Amino acid sequence: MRYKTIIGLEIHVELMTKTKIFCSCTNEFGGEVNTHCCPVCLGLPGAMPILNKAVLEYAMKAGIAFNCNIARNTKMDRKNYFYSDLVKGYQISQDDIPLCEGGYIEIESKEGPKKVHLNRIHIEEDTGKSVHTEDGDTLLDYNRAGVPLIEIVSKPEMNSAEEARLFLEKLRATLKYIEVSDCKMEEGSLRCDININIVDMETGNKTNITEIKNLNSFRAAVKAIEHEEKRHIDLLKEGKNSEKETRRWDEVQGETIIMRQKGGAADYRFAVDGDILPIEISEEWIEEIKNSLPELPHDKKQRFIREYGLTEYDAEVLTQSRDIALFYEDTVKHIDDPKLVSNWIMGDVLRRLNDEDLEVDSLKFDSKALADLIKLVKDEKINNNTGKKVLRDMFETGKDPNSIVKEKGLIQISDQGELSSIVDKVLDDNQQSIEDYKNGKDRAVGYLMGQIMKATRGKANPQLVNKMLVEKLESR
Amino acid sequence: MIKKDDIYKLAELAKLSIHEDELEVYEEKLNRAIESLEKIKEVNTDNVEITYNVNQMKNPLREDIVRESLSQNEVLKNTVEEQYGYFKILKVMD
Repeated sequence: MRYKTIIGLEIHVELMTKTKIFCSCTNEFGGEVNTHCCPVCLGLPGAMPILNKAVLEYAMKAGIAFNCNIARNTKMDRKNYFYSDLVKGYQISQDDIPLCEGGYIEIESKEGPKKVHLNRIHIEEDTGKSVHTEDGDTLLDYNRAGVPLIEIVSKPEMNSAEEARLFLEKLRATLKYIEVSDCKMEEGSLRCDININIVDMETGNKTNITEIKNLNSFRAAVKAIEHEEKRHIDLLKEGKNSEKETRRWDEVQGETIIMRQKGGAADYRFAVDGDILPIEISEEWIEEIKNSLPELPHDKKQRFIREYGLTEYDAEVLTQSRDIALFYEDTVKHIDDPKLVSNWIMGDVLRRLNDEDLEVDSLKFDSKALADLIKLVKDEKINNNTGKKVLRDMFETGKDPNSIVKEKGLIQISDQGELSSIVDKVLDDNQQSIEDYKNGKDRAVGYLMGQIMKATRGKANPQLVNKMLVEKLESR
Repeated sequence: MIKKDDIYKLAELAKLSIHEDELEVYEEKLNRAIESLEKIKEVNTDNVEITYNVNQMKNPLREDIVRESLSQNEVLKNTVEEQYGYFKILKVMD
């Protein structure tokens, strides 16, 4: 391939601690404007920030999950810039000694497993929120000021929009697993910036790096990367280069739009924050955090393959979220058929959840009910199609599958005599189809099956009927 | 040595407007200040650990327990203009 895409990501994630990073105000999302504020997060003169222990713990969890080195000694620094959502005129962040350094996230790219390395993960405070009105005013809400963030910086090691998507999904799944963040892009608890440029492998020419902001979904990130890839390649083809600039993704226009040129690099004048004392992290503390981590997605996936005999793909899908994995394992506890349970969850359950953009915890039925349903199908009390119908009913009403089957009289007809007479009747009524069958039109069987199912309201045992139908057709 | 361009840049960072006729004064004063710092560089600091804070205490961390915040009225008490509970300022766009 002549053009190689180079992508690096910077992800800001809000931590799910109870309080803010430097004060005891609640870290709850939303709330009435300017009610989660105190002298510290409003940056009032003389207020002293005190670092929240849980912020260090949550950030270390993320660092350990992503295979980083945890600093034994670190500190907080002031990053100076002037903007109205930044109360103190500086953001308390980390400069040269981040809490976590190195590490990687492994993704399953088309070419096989690939490690995308990280530069660092550091802790910092979030800013307030501005609302720009049509009257030419800016309104400020400082509830978010001082919300704890981790910034995760990847190395520029992704080479396609697909790899970036896989990286982001793995990152989000892991952070949700270890309960460090809820990672809701729509609420801004996960925000991602993309750095992208292109290398012409023939000439060695490189385009200048574009930074893309304002991405509010992974899908937007993928589309923005694809758009930017093309823009850079087109420029190279014309013998031009991109500008070193920041662009934002415009969802409506489906394109990136320039925000600002990166002329002189911003001068943040980093300096140690003297209000916050140096931070020392002991081996024991790191060990304690390590032991507190739940099984990580990758390990869980390997265990699912080993323990339940699932395929790589099935195990990947089922371990994408902790809730789905838990639901799967609970269901298997009730019915010991891991492959069958995996088929039902990956098929009808997840499809429905995805279609309606819902999470597992919003299901109206539990793992026991799903196991009961699968048992009904497995024991041939109802056929597969009826099973799907019952599941739809369970989605709507949350009713127990056994009651649904009983109430609606859905028990499968497997009685030979009863089925035989129904098949005979259908054949008598469809002479044309019999003739078609004799003339080698196999489609006739499908049509006749349909008629039999109609006559039994879908309750006939399909394997039995099929066998019976072919036998009877042959003998007519 | 600090040059005129540096002073413009510093002024911009400090949000100060500087008249051209003030430049020379600043240039001289700033350079004198920087020169006096040269003296410090004479001290040999090989094998000396960096002091990030003169206070030798470490890890005075806070437990993650929510305490009451200020009321919206208190939060907005010192502002010149407010609207719907927000601080109101002239429109800023980056």
